[in-house]
Amino acid sequence: MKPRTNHRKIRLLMVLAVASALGGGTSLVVATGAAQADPPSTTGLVAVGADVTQDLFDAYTGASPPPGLSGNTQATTFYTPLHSSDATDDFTIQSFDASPFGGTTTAPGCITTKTGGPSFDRPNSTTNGIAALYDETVGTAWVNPTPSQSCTGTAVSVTGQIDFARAARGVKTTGTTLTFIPYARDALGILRYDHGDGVIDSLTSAQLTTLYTSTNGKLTVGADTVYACLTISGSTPRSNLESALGITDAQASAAATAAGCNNITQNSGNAFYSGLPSAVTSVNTNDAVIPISSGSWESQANLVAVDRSATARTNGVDLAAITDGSTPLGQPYTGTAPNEVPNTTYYSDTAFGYNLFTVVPSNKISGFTQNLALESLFVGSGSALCSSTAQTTAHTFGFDSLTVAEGTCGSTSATGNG
Amino acid sequence: MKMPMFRKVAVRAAMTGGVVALCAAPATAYASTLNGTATITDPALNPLSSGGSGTSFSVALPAQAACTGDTASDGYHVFSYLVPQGTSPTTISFNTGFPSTGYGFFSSIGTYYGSANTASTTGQIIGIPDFEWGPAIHGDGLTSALLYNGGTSGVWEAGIACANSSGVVTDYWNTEITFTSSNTDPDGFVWADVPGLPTDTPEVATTVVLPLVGVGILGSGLWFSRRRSTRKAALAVKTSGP
Repeated sequence: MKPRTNHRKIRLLMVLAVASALGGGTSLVVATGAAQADPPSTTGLVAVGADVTQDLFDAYTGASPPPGLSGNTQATTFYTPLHSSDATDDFTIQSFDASPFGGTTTAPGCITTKTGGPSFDRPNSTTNGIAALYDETVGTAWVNPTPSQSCTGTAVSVTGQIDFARAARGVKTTGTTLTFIPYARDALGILRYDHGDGVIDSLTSAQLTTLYTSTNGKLTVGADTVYACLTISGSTPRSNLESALGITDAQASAAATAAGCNNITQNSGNAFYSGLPSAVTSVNTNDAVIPISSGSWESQANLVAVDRSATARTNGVDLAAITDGSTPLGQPYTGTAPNEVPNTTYYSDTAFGYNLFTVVPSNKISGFTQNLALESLFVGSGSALCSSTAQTTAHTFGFDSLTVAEGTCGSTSATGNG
Repeated sequence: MKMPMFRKVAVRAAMTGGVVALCAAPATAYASTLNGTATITDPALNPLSSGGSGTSFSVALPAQAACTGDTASDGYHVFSYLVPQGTSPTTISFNTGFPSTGYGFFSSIGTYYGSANTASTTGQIIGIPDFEWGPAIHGDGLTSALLYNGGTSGVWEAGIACANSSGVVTDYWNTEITFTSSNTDPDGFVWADVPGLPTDTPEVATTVVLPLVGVGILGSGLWFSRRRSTRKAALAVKTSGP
């Protein structure tokens, strides 16, 4: 006869077994869960990157400044949204700014670009927009390389979250992963503050080179001392200044740091004005300069973009006239606000003018992985972005159409990895 | 030799704990579904067994089909695949956002379906769009690849897969599609599908396997325990004899 305790143990274990089996069944239900009424992903193609063209691409999404911005007092202008052809289902775009409204590029925060997607660092410049798109394309997680500008503090997978990047410069890192497609022309402007004495209304490229390679970040012009200011690392005003003058980032950064005027939010006259060293604001013969996108400055002055320069303009900040070598270029714009337009002579200069690009994954414009809507938007002279309507909008925002000498709108001949 | 009581208790506790852990594991994570069934449907989600190059179709998965993890927190994404018959979908990598081998489902403008987000938290697969074979196959010149049996036919494993942030397949739902050349179709082929799994591979989910394994371990333990008790009783009778 078996001990009674054994029966009790067996019964106990049987109960446990049944409970465990039921637990497994329960886990099946829990794992599959109840239906969730999430909407399908939005279909607009997502852009990140350059602050230079963030306002223009807001217009291409349909409105600039975007409606509904808390605290915005500017009138919104509506535009026909950029869209792919009927044959490619009229895909539109969604453009995420580098510099969020009311914020800065030094603390850009996070964005979520598609339904159900992760929250990741907002790319706050051309370079970071391209880097994020590159990471999306090769399957690497993305994080802002400047820790203080990261809101996640850790790399996040951005697979499927970014479709193209806005770029205000061409290829810097060789490769074939990304294709840089030109569509318009911008120019490097030199924003100056001189207390209204007019001493640095005009500057030469030689003076700028001397200033930004100096060890103290200062240059004497007439009776004034000019301080060198710089925008954040990776921003196109900064890198385009360095390209135009043929100097290194280390040289320019050292000069701006010595002047106490480094890492200013780019393309914001107000950030420049409010960030001026006290030595500049308190002494009338001390002046300062900073690189900026001419197109961005003009679009703000024309009030078609979010105006981040009104205070600066009121206090006499303006673009300097430039002489490149021995060639006088004049100011980057002609006319007066709110009707400033690009000065073609200035924009076509090979040192101070530069092309604007959309950057797309190369594998999305060829082979079975191609995205015909993306191609319809950007590839070829017949693309939506090269249409006269889109080019007219670009002109409104201070950018010129490409001349034959400058490049071919929609060309896919330039590839790179950054 | 007599087993100390504390050791017996420890063995049974470990056994029971292991079973409970095996059964509970899927409840604290998402279930991985390998070899689930995908069903080709018309855009209204009625099953569709065949069509031509221009036939619009979609793909239905079992109710509440979900990835092992979600996109927002875990980095999982939804992809489509199309690989020759007999190819296991788990051998495909989606690390670059596209299948490392083969093709996938395409939209009516020839865009590959992939890198789609799941619903947050649940990982549920949402918003599968309508597809069409013709534009991509014709536009990319894939007809001969599709009809790999001498240009007359080709059988393919097709379906929806989930991949983790490294592009490794963690879940998939499959259907087999046979493409056949056609003189009457504008793009030169028609297709027919059989919902379900690659040949000889049963559909099993870990949420089913793990509890069964647990019950198996428990049963073995009980059998072993009863056998030991019987032997001990027999030994006691033998040693207490005259």
